[in-house]
Amino acid sequence: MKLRFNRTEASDVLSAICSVAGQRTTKDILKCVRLEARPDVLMLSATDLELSLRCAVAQVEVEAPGDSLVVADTLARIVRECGDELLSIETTKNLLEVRGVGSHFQIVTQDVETFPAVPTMEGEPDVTIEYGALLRLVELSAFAAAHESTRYAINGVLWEIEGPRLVLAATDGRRLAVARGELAGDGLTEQKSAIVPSKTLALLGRLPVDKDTRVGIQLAENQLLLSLGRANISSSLVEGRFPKYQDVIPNDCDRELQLNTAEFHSALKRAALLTNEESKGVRFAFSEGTLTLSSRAPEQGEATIALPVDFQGTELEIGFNPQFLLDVLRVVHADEVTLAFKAENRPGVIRLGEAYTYVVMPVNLASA
Amino acid sequence: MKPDRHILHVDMDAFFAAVEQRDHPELRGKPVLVGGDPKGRGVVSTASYEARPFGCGSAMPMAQAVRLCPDAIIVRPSMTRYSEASAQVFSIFEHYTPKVEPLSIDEAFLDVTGSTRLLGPAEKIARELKQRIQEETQLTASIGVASNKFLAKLASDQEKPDGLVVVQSDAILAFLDPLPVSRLWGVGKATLPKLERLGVQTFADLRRHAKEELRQHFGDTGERFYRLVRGIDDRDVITDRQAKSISHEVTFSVDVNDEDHLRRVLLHHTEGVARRLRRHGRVARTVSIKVRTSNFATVTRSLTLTEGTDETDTLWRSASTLFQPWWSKHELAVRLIGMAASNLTESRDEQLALFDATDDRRDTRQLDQAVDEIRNRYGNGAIERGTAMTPDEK
Repeated sequence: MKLRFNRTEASDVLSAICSVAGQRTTKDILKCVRLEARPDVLMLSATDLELSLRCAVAQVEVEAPGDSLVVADTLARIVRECGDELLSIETTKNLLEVRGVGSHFQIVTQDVETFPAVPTMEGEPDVTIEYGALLRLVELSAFAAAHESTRYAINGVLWEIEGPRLVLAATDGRRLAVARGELAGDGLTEQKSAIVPSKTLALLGRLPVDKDTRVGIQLAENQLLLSLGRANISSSLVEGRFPKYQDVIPNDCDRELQLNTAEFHSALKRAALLTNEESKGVRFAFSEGTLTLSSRAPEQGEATIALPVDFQGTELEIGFNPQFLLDVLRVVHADEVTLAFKAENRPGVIRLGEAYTYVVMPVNLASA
Repeated sequence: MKPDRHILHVDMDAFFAAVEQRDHPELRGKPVLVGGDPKGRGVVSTASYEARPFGCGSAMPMAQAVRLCPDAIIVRPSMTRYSEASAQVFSIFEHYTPKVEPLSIDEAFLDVTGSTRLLGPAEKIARELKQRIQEETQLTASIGVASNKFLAKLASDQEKPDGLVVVQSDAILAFLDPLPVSRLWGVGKATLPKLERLGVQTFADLRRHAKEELRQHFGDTGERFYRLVRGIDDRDVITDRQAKSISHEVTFSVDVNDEDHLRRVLLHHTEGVARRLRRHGRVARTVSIKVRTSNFATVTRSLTLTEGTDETDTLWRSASTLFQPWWSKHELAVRLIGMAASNLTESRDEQLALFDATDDRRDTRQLDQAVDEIRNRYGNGAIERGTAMTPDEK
């Protein structure tokens, strides 16, 4: 194998590869990237056996095709640290040599044959969606997933193909994010759903793929396959039953107001300054024309922030963990959001039109 | 060294057997073996003092104990009555000091330094405590009184049963020197032969070795040995309220490789830990289990929850989630199993939950409260989780 490539191009692909190739795995083979040089393309692949990525590097000149297998992190760091515009790679018996101006690296290669097969999509995708639209759905939902819940199903994000839409839903048991996006082509008549691991969603955000790329989605048995132009992803699915999230989206909220996202975000950040692990709730006191946020951290102090809002009706106090709201305000990218609720022990809802619903359960504030 | 502390180590005498003899008068004055089935792989949990002269002890297969003492009466353990008696004893402790560090069901450290002004010298407190335990529970305890935990624990063991040994500050070395080195905290099956090769048999022998030399042979442990044989131990008595973690563990006298039994013990631990959390108004975010296998390899597994909890159910689900993969992968004989809750904070604001929470979680909370109340009033044995019962109790 012998080739020259554009360093920045390859570096982008390698950093995505490294988010798949295991760093903490005990199986050395899973720390590796497989290089496949074909007449006019270089394909890189990595897998942790649950998530696989195969991605083409653009701007390559292949002199001699061939395959090689090296530790991904080592190659990625070499490519990142070299200042050259172009680098060349050549393999000898069991070494892979990288050359730039003044630098020469020799990395030990592994046996290519031992690398696990990386599944790719066969046949047509079930549906397609623009990469930019998919990224937006991921951004709006993935943060709400649980991390180490003993209910495994909620450590992933639910993908539902429903008619002409793709819906992503995530929850950690205290808040729920539901993002709905339009598919690019035809929808499906049957409904399909799967729980996708968070690691897979994180990878989606790191791909060197243009926003207008059409993403093909195929839900096969126990597996999600994605084709994104130059990149192909296959991911195992999370087993288990995702909670019936529709049931907890309240439809009886009788108080609703429009909030300026930036002002609300800033006020909430200030109120959150005086919360801590022991006393994590911020008190939301709604009165005619004003929302007063207050917090109190034992032995530290307290905060009161008043925000003029368009609120009418009887006064109400409700507690929320500010982090759950800050999380969502950071990703909505809209001038205004709708906040709706009913009572101090009932869920609050943040909405962005029809496309996004975020439900958050309140905190029972310790009576101070 | 910290000046002038007064530490008590209270250790109940042949606890399980003593409870049985108390509750069944026909067993009094007779050799009693509490433990498993002599026909199977059962082991002795506790041998009454009447059985001990025959050589019966708690690290012994039941079949062997029966051969040594054919007249012994075998009693299957009933943990619920033991926990009940234990709760009674611990509530007596609280009359003497708030600084109580529970070590196990029948053993605790008490720091009575602050109580001496009101209640008199530590020795007097210990004497009263023994008497009160005897009066209220008809059980005997052995107590060691000293200026630190290490000495107090050695002292309580010195004149069992029904002993009271006070180690005066000017008699520490005289007390320690003749003791066999196997009594030193941290000396086990691995270290003992090493010490013997060095010609060390007693504390006095060990005291003749320089700090550097002990360090060379035993690393950090060597340095601790150096301090301990001089009677120096600065560890505080840690109450549940100050504790960074709350844990329960048990070392089996004989390795256990029965999954059901291990799970049941782990659930018992979890219930105990959860109850201690609730009693002190604390919640835990990290749950750990600890397993030591027959080859002395110790594994700990832990997970951190998004939200602190004091619910038995949530803690048990976590502990069980940690145990299951380990067990199905290894299925090794287990010597010790423990459960710990750490990452503790005071519980104040309560985050409501979306799904099971709204209904199930409220139920869980009410259930925990009801169980605690019943146990506080009628003792631990009054109510039991279905899964914690042994088949013959159901």
